[in-house]
Amino acid sequence: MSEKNNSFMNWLDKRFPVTENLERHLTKHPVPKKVNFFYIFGALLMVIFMVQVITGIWLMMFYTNTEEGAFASVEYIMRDVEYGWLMRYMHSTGASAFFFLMYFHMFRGLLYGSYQKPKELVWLFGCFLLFLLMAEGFLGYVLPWGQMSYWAANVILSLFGAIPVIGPDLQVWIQGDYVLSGATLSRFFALHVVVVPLLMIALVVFHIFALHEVGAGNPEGVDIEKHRDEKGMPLDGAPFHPYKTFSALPAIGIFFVIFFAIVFFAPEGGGYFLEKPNFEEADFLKTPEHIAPVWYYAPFYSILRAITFGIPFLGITSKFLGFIIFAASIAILFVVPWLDRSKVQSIRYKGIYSKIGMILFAASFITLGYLGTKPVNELRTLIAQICTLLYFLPLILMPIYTKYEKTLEVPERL
Amino acid sequence: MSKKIDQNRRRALHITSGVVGAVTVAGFAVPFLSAWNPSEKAKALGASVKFDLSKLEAGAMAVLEWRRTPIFVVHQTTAAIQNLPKLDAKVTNPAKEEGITRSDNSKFTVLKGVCTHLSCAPKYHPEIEPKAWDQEWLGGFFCPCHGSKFDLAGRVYKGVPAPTNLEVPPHSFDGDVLTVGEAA
Amino acid sequence: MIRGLALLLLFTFCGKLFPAGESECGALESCAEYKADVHDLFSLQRGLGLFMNYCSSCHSLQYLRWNRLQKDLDIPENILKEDLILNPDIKNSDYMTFGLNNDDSTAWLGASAPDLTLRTRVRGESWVYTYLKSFYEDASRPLGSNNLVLQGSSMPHVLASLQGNQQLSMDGSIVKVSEGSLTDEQFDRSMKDLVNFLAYAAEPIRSDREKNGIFVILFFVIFTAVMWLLNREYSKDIK
Repeated sequence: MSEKNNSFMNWLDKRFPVTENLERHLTKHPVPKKVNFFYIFGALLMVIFMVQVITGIWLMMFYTNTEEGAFASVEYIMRDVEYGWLMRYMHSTGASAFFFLMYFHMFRGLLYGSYQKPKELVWLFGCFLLFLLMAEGFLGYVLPWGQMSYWAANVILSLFGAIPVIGPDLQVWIQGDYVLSGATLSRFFALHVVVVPLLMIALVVFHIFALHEVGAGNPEGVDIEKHRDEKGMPLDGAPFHPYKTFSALPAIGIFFVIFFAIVFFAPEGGGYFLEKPNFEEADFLKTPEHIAPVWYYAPFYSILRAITFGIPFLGITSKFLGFIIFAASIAILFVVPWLDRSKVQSIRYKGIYSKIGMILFAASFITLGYLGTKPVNELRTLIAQICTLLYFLPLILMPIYTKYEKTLEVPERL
Repeated sequence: MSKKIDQNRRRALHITSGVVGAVTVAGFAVPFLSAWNPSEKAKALGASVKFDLSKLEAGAMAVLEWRRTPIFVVHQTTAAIQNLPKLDAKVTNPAKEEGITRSDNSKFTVLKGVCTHLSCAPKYHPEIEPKAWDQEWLGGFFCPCHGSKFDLAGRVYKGVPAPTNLEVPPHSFDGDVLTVGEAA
Repeated sequence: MIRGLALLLLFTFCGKLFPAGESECGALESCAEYKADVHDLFSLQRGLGLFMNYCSSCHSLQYLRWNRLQKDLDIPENILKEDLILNPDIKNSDYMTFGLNNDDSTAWLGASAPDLTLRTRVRGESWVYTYLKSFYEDASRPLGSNNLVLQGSSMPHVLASLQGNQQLSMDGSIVKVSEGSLTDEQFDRSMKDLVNFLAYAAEPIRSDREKNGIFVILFFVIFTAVMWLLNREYSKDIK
């Protein structure tokens, strides 16, 4: 029996690098033995990606991507298609879960210096994935063609319109029409279903290849490759399969407990996962009282709204400046590997300034998120402006304080 | 470093987790596979169709639509009923067990108006007179596409391209009301 | 790290220390809380009755099929056809489209009477519940009525015969000025029935999903437990 398997695998291996890759990436790939729960989010992200793709494909079988039919087709899915409602809720909850996991996954990266040399490329691919995820979420949100789909899309598209000189033409070109319409919906459908997912799959593959090339990190920031046993396996490491694959399974179980609790008992997420105005079909003659993005864009939306001033002598309106700073808040993440000049990787061993910086950054991100879901008033705008500052400062000043602060001695072994 | 591995415990855990894993996959599969079943919209469009027979004169044929298929409802004349057994030898499958009208009703025949050759719609020719395709025509259907002939009960003649009798759709009679398709 | 987390939480809640004063309930400070119960079959049936009697002449339920309503609310065929659908040309599988079309509604009442299938999901159950109870006489309006929750509403006080007439007092609160056929308690109960029904219409599957969810979650708890044991066994290798 095993003889037969061996010769089959031999046949296969001569034609396709099966065993070689299984060993390189799974059964002989060393990963740190001791990590904490922050390290599970990568695996969970892959799971939720699969959930989104599969539920998305199924939704596509019943969805109508025209202005006339889109909204009704969603109700068709909710009522007439067997288990259509489950697919819809899994997809909408999945979108929020995707961002929740993404933010925690990146926070792990910031905490434990996962972006430091030689993992800068892993981080860059990851930031690109964040950008693609944000695009994917925006495109997907327009598809149900509800009031919020329409009006939030209008807001974002008008940001492109705010770019000097080329803005208005660019906006018309993106829309495919003088106003946001069915033409926009159809192309957003193609982008959401094919283009962005394919790019994301490619980037996930690159992200993991880049990671496996240099090896995963750990909360201590210890280099496990330095001390190996006779067989070449790091003393503080263990093969990915079966130790990490099996340890991921209970985490996936817990994730699904929470995920399905939301799907079955609170799919609207208190109005944060499925926003109330979106249960009304898009009406271009009627603007909703508050146009708010979904919660996962709220921090960045907050930053956008906080910029209430322009640079008049440069001809930059407050709207355009807001767009620039909003884009910068995402772009600055890409360059973190080069902002961090610390000798140590992990926050556990960095100095007091890094710790304060991290707290301020995280707290301002969360506060900005909260503010982004609420309508503006003077006080809120002021707090948002302060928080925007506290978002950027820890990053902008990072090259200075990480270089000069006093760090702790990193241990040799885990 | 070297601990005794309890193989029995491992095997038990492998089996248990394997079963749980298989149930999880099956559990995920059920909604997705079920979603492919006809939706309420399909069921609504494919629902049974009712027809009032009291308005249909003897010798006349009504054409209904059921599941995008034309349905022929023929009110057989007395002459037609008498003529049909005479054609038993001329048809490929006399289908005596289906009765003369091939339905539960001695006066009405219900057929799918789809030629069993290549799905054209056969034309209704109830007149008893010589025809270009049959000098001894006793009434029936002639398919203009490739010349298949059927009698008034939809039975296919020998020696024509169509292989089988015109199909009888599921139907039921309730007094003067004909229901094509399963009753809801 | 604990101190860090504590600071984080403190900062986070700073945002909550300054709530704004914008109201989600029109002229009222806040809507009366109501969470619909879609499991009470009799309530849903009563709600359906109220809807057909008082709402269906203007408002449609365009996404709800008659046969779905029949199945979920356990309505006998003869009652469905003779008392509810009424028109023999309408099939059981058709959508519940009745009420006024937009043109007539706008011409006669000043605004279109919106389709109500998803209304409780758009406005919220508490909003709809409070709205139904907040009509008052207003001579300045074309149809003589206004609503505290939706100021300038074009909808007449169709429930006046049940609730009685209401007026706005000097301090802005509503007072009843005449009796309807129902007591306050009965009317309140009826409005809850109606909102329950509308919540059902907005999401017919809700009752099922709330009932079956517990099993799915229980399964994944078992899944987690089994996988935990598997993992613990293997992690002994690498201690």
